[in-house]
Amino acid sequence: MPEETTKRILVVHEQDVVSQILTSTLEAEGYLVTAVSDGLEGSRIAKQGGFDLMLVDLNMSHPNSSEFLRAVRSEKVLSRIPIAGLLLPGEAEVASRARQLGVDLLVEEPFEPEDLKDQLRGLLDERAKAR
Amino acid sequence: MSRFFESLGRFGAPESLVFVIAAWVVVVLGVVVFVAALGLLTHHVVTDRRRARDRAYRRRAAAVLVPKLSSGQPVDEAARESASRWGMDATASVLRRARIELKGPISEEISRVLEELGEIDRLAKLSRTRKPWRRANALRELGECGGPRARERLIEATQDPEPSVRRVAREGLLIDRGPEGVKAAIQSYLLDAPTRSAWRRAFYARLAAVASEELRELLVGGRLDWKEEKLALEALGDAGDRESRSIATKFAASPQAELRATAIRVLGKLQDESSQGLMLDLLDDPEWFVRAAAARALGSIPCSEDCCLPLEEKLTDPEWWVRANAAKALSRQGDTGVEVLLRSLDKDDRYARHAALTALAYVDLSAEQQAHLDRRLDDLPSDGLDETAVSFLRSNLALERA
Repeated sequence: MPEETTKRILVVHEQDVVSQILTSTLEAEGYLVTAVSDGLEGSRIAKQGGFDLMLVDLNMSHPNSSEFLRAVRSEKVLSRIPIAGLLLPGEAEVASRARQLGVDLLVEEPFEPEDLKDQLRGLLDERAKAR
Repeated sequence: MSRFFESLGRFGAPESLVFVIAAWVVVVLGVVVFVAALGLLTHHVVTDRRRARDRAYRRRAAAVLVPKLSSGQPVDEAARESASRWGMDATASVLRRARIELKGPISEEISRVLEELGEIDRLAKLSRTRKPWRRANALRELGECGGPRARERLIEATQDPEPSVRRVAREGLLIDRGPEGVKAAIQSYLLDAPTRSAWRRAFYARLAAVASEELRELLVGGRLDWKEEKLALEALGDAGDRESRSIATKFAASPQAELRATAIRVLGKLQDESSQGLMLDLLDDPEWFVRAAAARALGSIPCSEDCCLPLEEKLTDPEWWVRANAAKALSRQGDTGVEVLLRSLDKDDRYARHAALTALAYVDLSAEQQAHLDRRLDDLPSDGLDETAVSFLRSNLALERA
């Protein structure tokens, strides 16, 4: 846990309530969370660097999530940051596009807070081992 | 207007009177326009303020409720506090949204709290009003609330006289995700399928997402006609439901060509490598769209080398879609597929060459393959069809080298 308190996560989700649920869930686990509700703001903040993971709504409308992911992955500093994407059940097309655009983990909504924490921890551990 | 004044002049009205009438008309019209603009402006300002206030209330309600919800603590007290401070609308809206996002015991807890706060009663009452749009909105929100009482009202509303309200009631039951509600939604759909295919598609997509097992049972049960079977199967494929592979395999032998095409598309989407033989068989289907779907499906799985020859043959198919999909499928089979595409540039069939050139534009070629391609491009006969593909390919290669 002490190591995890230093991890920073950027949450990009258009829905205020969802954004707050994610922030609260992850802060309770000791992560430092920055939440934004729009993709443009998200890519601006992401470019400042310092994040260990991004949690992104894959159904964003402005800019849409594909544009956002392309913009993020085209930045040298962000090309290796692990990205987890939130999507609705049954969105196979969204899932395959997200995979192509470099999303490392797909999380289906609705989710259980404990499952979400486990999955994100797994992704962060995996990246830490790969370094 | 000028004719009106002329006619007044003909009846002997003095010119000054005509001027006065015209001036009055202008003034009255001006006042009407001004009042309307002022009304519109006021409406916008009031609506904007109300929306901003509602948003702020929802944010504050969320600040009270979310920490409890995400930590799984009892939410009753926080909900009562939020309702008294930020209003029932803001509190219920946050709770409904949270129920959509969260699953597990917390989802049932939210339904119970919404019922205790009287939200279910309020929405159930609204769902019985005279205006269909108001009934529909209330039913949608009831679906988001979930729980036995909301479900009961939604099931009842599947008998509403208005088709759009019945459709929303079914959607609400699927949002709720309770097994009893899902069964009722299917039952209602079978008796009263919407006329628009987009609505039917939306129903199956939601059903595949929340209750794929029930949808599979429905497909196997033979209660749907072939057009509905096609939509249902497509929805299962889009949902990535791997359990539906055996059903898709069965439908790939259907006498209905559209069903065969859908089935093979689904097997491709599910990347079912064990269906390679079936995909190869359907490459020779009498209907071009089935052949095109089979070629595309072969492109989504890693094929054995046996695939390359039949796909190469399809580069000379009379239909453009079949040729294009076959070439694309070959381009995804690694070096063996690329070799076949490069070889087909030597063929006399200009349509096969065109399909191969277009597919090669998207492939990462080795240095040797690129050199081969460069040599071949210089020798190609210049005709309109090849020129477009060649210039596209050259620009892609230049981009890649840059």
